[in-house]
Amino acid sequence: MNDVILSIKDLKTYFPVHKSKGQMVYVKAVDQVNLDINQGEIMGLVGESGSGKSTIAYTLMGMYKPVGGEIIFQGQNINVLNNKRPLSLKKNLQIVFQDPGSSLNGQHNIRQILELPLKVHKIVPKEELSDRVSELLQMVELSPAYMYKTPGAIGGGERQMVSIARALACNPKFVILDEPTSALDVSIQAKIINMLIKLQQKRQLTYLFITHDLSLMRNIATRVAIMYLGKVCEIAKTGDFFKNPLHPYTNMLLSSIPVISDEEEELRPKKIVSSGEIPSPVNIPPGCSFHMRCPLRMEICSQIDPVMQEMTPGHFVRCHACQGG
Amino acid sequence: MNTNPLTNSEIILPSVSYRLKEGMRKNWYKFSRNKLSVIGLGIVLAVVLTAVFAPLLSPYPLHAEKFVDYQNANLPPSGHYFFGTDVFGRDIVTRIFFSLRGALVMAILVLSISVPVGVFLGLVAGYFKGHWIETVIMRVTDIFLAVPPLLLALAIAAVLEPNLTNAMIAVTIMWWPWYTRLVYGMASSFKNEYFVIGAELIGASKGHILFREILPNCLSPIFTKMALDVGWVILIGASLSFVGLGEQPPTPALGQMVADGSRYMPDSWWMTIFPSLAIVIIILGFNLLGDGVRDMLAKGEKGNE
Amino acid sequence: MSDHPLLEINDLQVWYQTFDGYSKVLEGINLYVGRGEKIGLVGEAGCGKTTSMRAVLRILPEGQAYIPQGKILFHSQDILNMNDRELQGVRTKGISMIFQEPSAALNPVFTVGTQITDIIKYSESGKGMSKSKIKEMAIQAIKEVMIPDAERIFDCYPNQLSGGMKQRICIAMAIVTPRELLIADEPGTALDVTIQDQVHKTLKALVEKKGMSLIMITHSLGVARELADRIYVMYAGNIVEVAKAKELFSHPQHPYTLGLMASVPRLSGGGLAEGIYGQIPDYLHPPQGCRFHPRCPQAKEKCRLEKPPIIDLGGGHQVACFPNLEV
Repeated sequence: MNDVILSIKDLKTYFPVHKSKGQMVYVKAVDQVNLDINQGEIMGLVGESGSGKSTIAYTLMGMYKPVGGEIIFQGQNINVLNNKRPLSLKKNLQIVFQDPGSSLNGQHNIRQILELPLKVHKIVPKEELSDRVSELLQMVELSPAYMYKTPGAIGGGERQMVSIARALACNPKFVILDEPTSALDVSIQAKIINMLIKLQQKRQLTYLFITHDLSLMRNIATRVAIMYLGKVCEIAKTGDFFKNPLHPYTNMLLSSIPVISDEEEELRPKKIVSSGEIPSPVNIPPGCSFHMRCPLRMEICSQIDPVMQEMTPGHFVRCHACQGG
Repeated sequence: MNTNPLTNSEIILPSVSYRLKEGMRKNWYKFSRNKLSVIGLGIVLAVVLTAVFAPLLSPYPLHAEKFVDYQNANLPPSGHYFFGTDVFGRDIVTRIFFSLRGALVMAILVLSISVPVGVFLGLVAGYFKGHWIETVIMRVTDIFLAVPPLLLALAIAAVLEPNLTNAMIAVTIMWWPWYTRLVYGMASSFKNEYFVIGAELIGASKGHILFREILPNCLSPIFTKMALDVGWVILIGASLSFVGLGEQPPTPALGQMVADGSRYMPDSWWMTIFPSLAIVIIILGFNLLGDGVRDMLAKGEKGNE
Repeated sequence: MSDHPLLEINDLQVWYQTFDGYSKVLEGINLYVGRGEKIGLVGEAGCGKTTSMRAVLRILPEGQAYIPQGKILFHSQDILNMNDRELQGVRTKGISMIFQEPSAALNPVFTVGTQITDIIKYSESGKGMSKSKIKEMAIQAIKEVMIPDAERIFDCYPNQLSGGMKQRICIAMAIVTPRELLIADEPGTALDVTIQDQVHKTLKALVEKKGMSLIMITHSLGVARELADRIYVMYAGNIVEVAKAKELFSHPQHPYTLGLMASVPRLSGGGLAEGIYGQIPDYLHPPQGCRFHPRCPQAKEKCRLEKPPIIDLGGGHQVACFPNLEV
């Protein structure tokens, strides 16, 4: 289906840092991002630190107030802070955080944690709360015996599964997953990802899946967007993205990831090797923010910031070199 | 899913009593690792039991009320009067035992009012940081904290009629700001924790967030401080009664006994020394207990969970 | 390998004391590193890899960690029996270690230059060296870890540097005085993937140039594949498999290794495998027999009763498993 469920237009989230010579200096965490997410797809958002991927997630949830732009969810502009949002919106838009250690209250047991969304949104009457909590635990393949354990007594993978159960408890339509498995081991990651995919198919959810791990993205996302220093560099369907990566940063990222088989080695771009440091987001160089590290840089790259262009259907890139100068 | 042919999993839901017992066992282990804390607990228990059972334990219970016996006044410690007698012939052991009652009652009442008030204000101020309500609460707190504690208590008690109740009111008024400041720091940092943000994003009410999410995480330092504070309230109470602003005679109060006896130093040394020692031991006991409570409630140790 | 390996760990057991008894983390591991060899120690969280390396340098928490048996031989001398002076010699001339969190390893109130020169000053080779010579050595070390503008960085404080640079300074600190063995405990985990790649490449080049041996602790098979000559796979306090890197990836034998490799998402796509059923055992009550048997898809009755033997498959490839596999 091609209904757009979430549309981000020209989103800008800036954080004031300090004043310099009377002017306020900002960290442009998210700088004019445009992204449309379709109902039922898993949109992948890739980037390293400073790319703004987590900031976008938090802005969508209303934790930060954007400086400019619009967020249109199910046809309505939801560009307000979280505490001013209606309960129905909070029900439909949920998030799973990265760190399983701090996203659950250590003083509560699992039952209390899972009952909270059920109670707030009045999903089931009081008598059925306990049963529904059991169901939620079984949905994420945990035994009901976990109800009285505290987060400290269970492993990181299981805590993350509880976070996922909590996010899905109120039957949302859209779930943002902010690096849900980055803090976990690979064997647990596999279980959680498979469970997430199953749940998405069963409940026809839409995911915004954020990670820095491109190999993981390859296996879970339907479309991928890659970000660098607050701007989107490339958007494409997963297959196109990996078969034909255009942006030099995409290539740099792909060539850096460690792989475990020779056939994957073949898939990695050879010509572009990572170099240089990610500049501080306060001092973004003029022109294209990537030009200092870019092996394909041209004269124009240090002067004019490139704009997003569709190179092949569904495959967008923001780069002078790719767009043919 | 890979199936394992060897293990059978059983689901056992732990009962409430099992969970409680396990919790108590673990807490006792952490508490008792330091022998001094156990000594502190012993002292505190002795103080509490003595206070409760004072009429039964004291050799001369009547000496705690209106009583004079000039024949036996000013006697040094002996077999009859273990700590000697005061100018009115009253047994000092008995008077110390009975004075513990007033001291503990004061501590309990002062803390049961000042702690909830202080904690509530601290939670609100910390969570609504940046809001005008935070400014109001914290500036008022600052004003109270700026005045030297004892001076504040003295001023209030002096304005009101000198008796135990008003001494308690005075101490309560000067005590709540310490808890506000303690909880304010914790609440304002917990406010940014992911589990609090998560609860906000789910749509929980402010009350839930303050009392069910943030407060449970603040309890350890609060309880630790409370354990230590019992001793300190008793000390402040003794200071007040030392200048005559607490329990009025003939009801015994530790500070009052120290003051009265100080006039007869060093000849009738027992009249001051024993009540002073009593104060020291009480404070020491609660301090050691407080250390133990802190060890028990401290989190994040390897091998504990 | 010519003669004795540089470092040899024999049958090492490490237990931690807890409220409920002893947590028997390491169950008798055997490991060796030759001169100039790069070893990968791969395992997931909680398998004991950090514990084993901390035991080598004897930096386990005192009072809590207990070593019931085992030998750690460095140049054929048992580190566990060394006195303070000999141990100090090992720590200053023999083995150095870099950790996962560079910000935690660097003192925030001193410049990185001071921290590097301190190492030189208090080492044996640095005794009696002039201040300028020490500074020269430090700047040379900073240059060797591929940090441009070394003189300026020398005077910087750690908080002025990025994560990647801090980690490289830690590497510089570890190699500024001559060492024979470098233990790296997941040095790239806290860094971005492009920076991690650079740090690993720098580390590899440096270690090869100086002829040092390297033990690389990581949870990522991909990282081990890039850096190591030989790889040890660890699970629940045991070495379950060891082989030369190429051999391990082309012919993995142990069910855990197989499960681990299957769980790694592939760049070629194709979806993810199911992962490995179950979770790591409770070290207070570890399973009898093979510690992996509760999760093993090929487990038999024997696995529950006896400890698996170490099977030698030739060419340095060994597996700790009963010989009943189909592969």
